Amino acid sequence: MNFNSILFLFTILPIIFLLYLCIPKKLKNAYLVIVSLLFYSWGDPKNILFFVTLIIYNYFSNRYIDCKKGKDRKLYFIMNLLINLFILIYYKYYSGILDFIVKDTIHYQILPVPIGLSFYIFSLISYNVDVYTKKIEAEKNLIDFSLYVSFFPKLLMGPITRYDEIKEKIKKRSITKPLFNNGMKRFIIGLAMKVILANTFASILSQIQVISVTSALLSVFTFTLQIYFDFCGYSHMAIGLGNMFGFILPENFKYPYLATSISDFWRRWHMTLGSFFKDYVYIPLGGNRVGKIRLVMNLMVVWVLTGMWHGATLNFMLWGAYFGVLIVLEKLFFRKILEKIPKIFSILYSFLLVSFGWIFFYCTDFASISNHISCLFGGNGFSDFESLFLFRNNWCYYLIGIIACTPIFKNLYKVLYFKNQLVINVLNIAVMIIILVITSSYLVSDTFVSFLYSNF
Amino acid sequence: MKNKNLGMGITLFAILISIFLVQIIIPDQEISEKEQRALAQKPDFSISSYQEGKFQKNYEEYIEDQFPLRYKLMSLKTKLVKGLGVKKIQDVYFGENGRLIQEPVYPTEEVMNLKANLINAFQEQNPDIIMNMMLIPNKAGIYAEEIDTEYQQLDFYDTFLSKLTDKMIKINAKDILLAHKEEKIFYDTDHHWTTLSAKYLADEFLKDQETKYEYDVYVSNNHFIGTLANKISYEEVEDVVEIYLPKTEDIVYYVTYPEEGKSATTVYDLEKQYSSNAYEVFFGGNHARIDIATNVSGDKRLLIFKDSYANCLIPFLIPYYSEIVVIDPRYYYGDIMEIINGKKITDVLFLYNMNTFFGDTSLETILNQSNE
Repeated sequence: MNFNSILFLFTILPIIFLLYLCIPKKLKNAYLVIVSLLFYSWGDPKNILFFVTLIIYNYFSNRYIDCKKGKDRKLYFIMNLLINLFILIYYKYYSGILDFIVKDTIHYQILPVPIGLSFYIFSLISYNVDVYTKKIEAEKNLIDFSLYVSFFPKLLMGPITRYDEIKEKIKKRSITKPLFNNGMKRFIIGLAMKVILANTFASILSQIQVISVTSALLSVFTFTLQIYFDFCGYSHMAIGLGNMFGFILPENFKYPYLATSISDFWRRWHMTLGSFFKDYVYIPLGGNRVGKIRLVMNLMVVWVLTGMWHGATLNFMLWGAYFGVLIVLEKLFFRKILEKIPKIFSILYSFLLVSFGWIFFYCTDFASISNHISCLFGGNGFSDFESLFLFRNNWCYYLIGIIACTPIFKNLYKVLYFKNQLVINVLNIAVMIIILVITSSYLVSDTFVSFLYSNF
Repeated sequence: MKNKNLGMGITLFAILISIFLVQIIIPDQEISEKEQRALAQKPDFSISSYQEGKFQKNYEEYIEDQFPLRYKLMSLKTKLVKGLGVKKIQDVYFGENGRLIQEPVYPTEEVMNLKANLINAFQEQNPDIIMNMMLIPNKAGIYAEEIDTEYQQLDFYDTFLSKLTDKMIKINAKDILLAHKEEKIFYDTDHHWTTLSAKYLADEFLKDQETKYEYDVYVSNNHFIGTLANKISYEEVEDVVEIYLPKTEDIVYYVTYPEEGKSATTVYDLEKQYSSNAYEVFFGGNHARIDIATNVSGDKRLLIFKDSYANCLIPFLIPYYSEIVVIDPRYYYGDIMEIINGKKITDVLFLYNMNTFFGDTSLETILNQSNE
């Protein structure tokens, strides 16, 4: 089920929440697990059994590991890790690997990837490692553990949550007024980002033919905005929903297009993924406490893996490697320069390089990548009527989109003339009601546009 | 966490609950008049349909289709988006004064040559028949200055007509419509032209006739919301559909629909008058073949190849032919030569609006068959 649907917004959410309030405290976690599993089965009925098995398996295997010591502990940890990794690789890269090897000569069945796989497997891996390194104790309560893995707000597209980030709230939480207020507001804002902005940009993108500089520019720029509002919008919805039920999920985005370097960008974009790779791959490989050559290797490994996590086709590896190279260059050469030049230039530098990088993300084959790049640099003429018209027709969305990449909207109330808190509150609510109505009008009008990151 | 969102949660959630309750209370609708389709109904649950994901999809469609104030919300979005400066939604442009203009079809040189050659060949095969071409520009052509397009529809008009043989009579629809463009010659909300402009073109087509007839104008429907407005949920403007009835009672005619086994003594389908597609008051819509037999003396028998633009023009032709056969190549699969020889056709009229003419290939199919 998608959060951006009339069904979820006006039927499922009200029901789930009201029931939650009525359920006695001791049973609230069990209730949430049932809701989350139903939620999963709605979107992926064929894999619900797989998902439940995976949870139960990890519950037992990690408790078992916690009982062991020394070599045994290490052995079982590695086995467990490999099993989880194998599941991810099997579903995700099966067709990609086969494609690479046999290239269309053999027919094979593509297994549909269980929804949310890339996200919850990474959650489980972080749990595996944290239990093994004794950072946390294996959770003894099956319900609580299941809730950790399956909690529906973060189930399909993250944020990727470590167990110690959520354990406290699993065991003891309450829905405070600020949490509920902020959560409800944040959910609607995320929904608006997805439905009004991301979906519109997706629709524009599907109409662009890249045959000139202007169309290539528009294509890249549109996707740059689309993927941000799609994924950040979803994260707002996930965190907002979590807040409504008394949870505080980790942040995932921090105005990434205002980053002052590529390294900074990756500390602002999909933050839970970045910190996963840092803590569970980069640092175990030695981090930056190694010689220069090893450092470059470590960085490249991390970034190529990051790219691969996003997709099984080669372009994703290229995308990851692209950032790997940029970050290596920054760490070795550019960092001082970037810190010295005026902020506006470093922001521009990051934005341009990141936007350009999206070409490798949304073009899945070499032909379309090379077409994009050659058109972008004038290989096919400067402008075409259609792309100019598309931009003119939708200029308002682009303007709102650019502004929404910054904290301007959020801080608007600070410049308001009214000092009266009550007036500000009322205006605040009025604005959100208007946003809700507009979002609903878009929801009702649009044909279904699925989340970009839900393919992972 | 600072509490600067006082009352936010409860207010927004209260709205969600209210809408939820409204959904439950209001009974399900069966059809949408505006969208001309049946609305999804509550699907039955079964384990297998849930496992296939079918139940989920159907249920979501059901919820969306039955959402209260659905059309109002859709038209709110259109209004909002228009206010934001959007000039085109799907393939519909916002012209001036509430006029909606459909994106024109741009034919390639090959397509134009193909069609022209087939029509010319048809004329050559039937040299004794008087052949007429009435190609009608759409709003995109007549009001081209109101929209932002890469090419001009009127350029294609001139180019195409120049490819037709001189033996074909070409009715100058372009100049006539341009001359009257300040009048209501097209519906604002629909892709069709009005009965008024059909009359102008009919007058031009019949200009050499001696007898002229006078007409009374009646309003068939003054709340017509046409295809273009419905497509983009645009509620700002309504159109008036007019019927022109001859003052004389001397002309009597009989209409048959041979493919459907129906007949009537009028070309007007009053059941469609107040339907959501009020334009269908003319003949009830499109038919594969319509035969009109009149009490008009003389030996003129007309065969018309047409699209729906012809529907409001044909009534003006009735007093001048003893027989009219109307063929819509999109639906007719019969033998044209059989009609021409069997009915002893004396005149042929191609009556098309440019978008359908260049967007459709059924005319080629039917001409190809007859040329064999």
